[in-house]
Amino acid sequence: MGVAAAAGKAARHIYDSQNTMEYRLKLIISEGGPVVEDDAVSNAYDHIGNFRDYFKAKLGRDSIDNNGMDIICNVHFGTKYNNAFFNGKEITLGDGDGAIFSSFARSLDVIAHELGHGVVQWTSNFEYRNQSGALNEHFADVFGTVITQYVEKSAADDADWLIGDEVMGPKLYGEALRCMASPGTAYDNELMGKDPQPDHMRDIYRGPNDNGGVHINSGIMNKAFYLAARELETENAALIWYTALQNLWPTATFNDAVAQIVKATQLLIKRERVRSGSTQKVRAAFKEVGLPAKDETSIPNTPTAKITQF
Amino acid sequence: MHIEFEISGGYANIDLTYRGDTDKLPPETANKLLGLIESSRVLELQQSEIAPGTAGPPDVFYYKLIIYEGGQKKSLSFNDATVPDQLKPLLEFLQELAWERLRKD
Repeated sequence: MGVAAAAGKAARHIYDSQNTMEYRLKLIISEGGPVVEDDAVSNAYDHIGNFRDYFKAKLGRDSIDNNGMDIICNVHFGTKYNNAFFNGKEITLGDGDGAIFSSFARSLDVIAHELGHGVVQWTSNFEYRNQSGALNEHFADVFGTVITQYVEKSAADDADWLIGDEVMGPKLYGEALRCMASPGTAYDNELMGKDPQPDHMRDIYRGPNDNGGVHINSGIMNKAFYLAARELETENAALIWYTALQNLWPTATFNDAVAQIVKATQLLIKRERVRSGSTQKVRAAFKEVGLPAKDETSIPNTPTAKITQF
Repeated sequence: MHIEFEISGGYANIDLTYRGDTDKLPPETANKLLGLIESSRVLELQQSEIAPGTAGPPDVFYYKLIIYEGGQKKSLSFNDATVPDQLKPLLEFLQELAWERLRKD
């Protein structure tokens, strides 16, 4: 039998890539270090703190791995790099080009989303393709939005439910990357085209792009979360979703997720963590988006969609 | 030399393609590009030398680079997590060209 690793302290470490594509190039600040002038460093440090504190206080989770792992972040990655990602170990944030996108470090929902992928990796570990990949994106969006609402002290009824709006540059001001309340409406412009997210299973994307639609079909689950949060309050919906996440598995489908979310709701009612009647509201939210799907065999999952794989 | 460069995926689910001929680009741009192609030794690199990437990690950009030169075609695919160190300067410049083209269009 192995010995459990000693718990860490969930310390934050922010590195400056100095506009190269190198990781952990220059350490700028570690936990408790002095305040720095660099906005990207400062914002990343604060947003990661919000993520860590939310999980600890509201969900009882100790950092990404629930064992106090340190949280590593690289800022100023690349030259005008228009992206943010989690590579399995740390998060990396670009400055944006200042026209289409601005600094990704300024956005709490971006950082909470990327760290949310870390939580997914250490729980269900969804494969990043097709429906399981869309679940991976969905749960990351859920964490992005609930932590933003928590920090902004907003409620489900008055939150904007937008993802990525804070990183849109001057050319796309007012747009967002995803809208959980109304998937498919986040953007419509000449630079990016039109938001392709469906909000119902009847419109599920079945093509090969985007690893089988991981950023596209997440809209269906996002809409269901939004509807549930409007009924139950965001904090309760987040607790239900997080409880389910810990019981899901790498190849899970939307139907599997629905079943586990309903089961988690029932369990939390029994434990008096959420109100009686929540199960029916969760089912109603999923019904609105066509879940559970009756004919799941007609929906591509692992074997059919072409994957970006090298 | 004809170059095709695709960027896809990422947090924003981008789908961007850049095409360019070095004999039609501004001389400064063409010279820099040719210099980076040479210094990166990209034409000698084999796909098998690049770490195999499964789908993911989450939100990385996926890149496809095709170079046509002298009747030969070199095609390589990689992502932010698997890009070989030797290609990074070339990748950064190609990204700059691709995004600049989009901003102008």
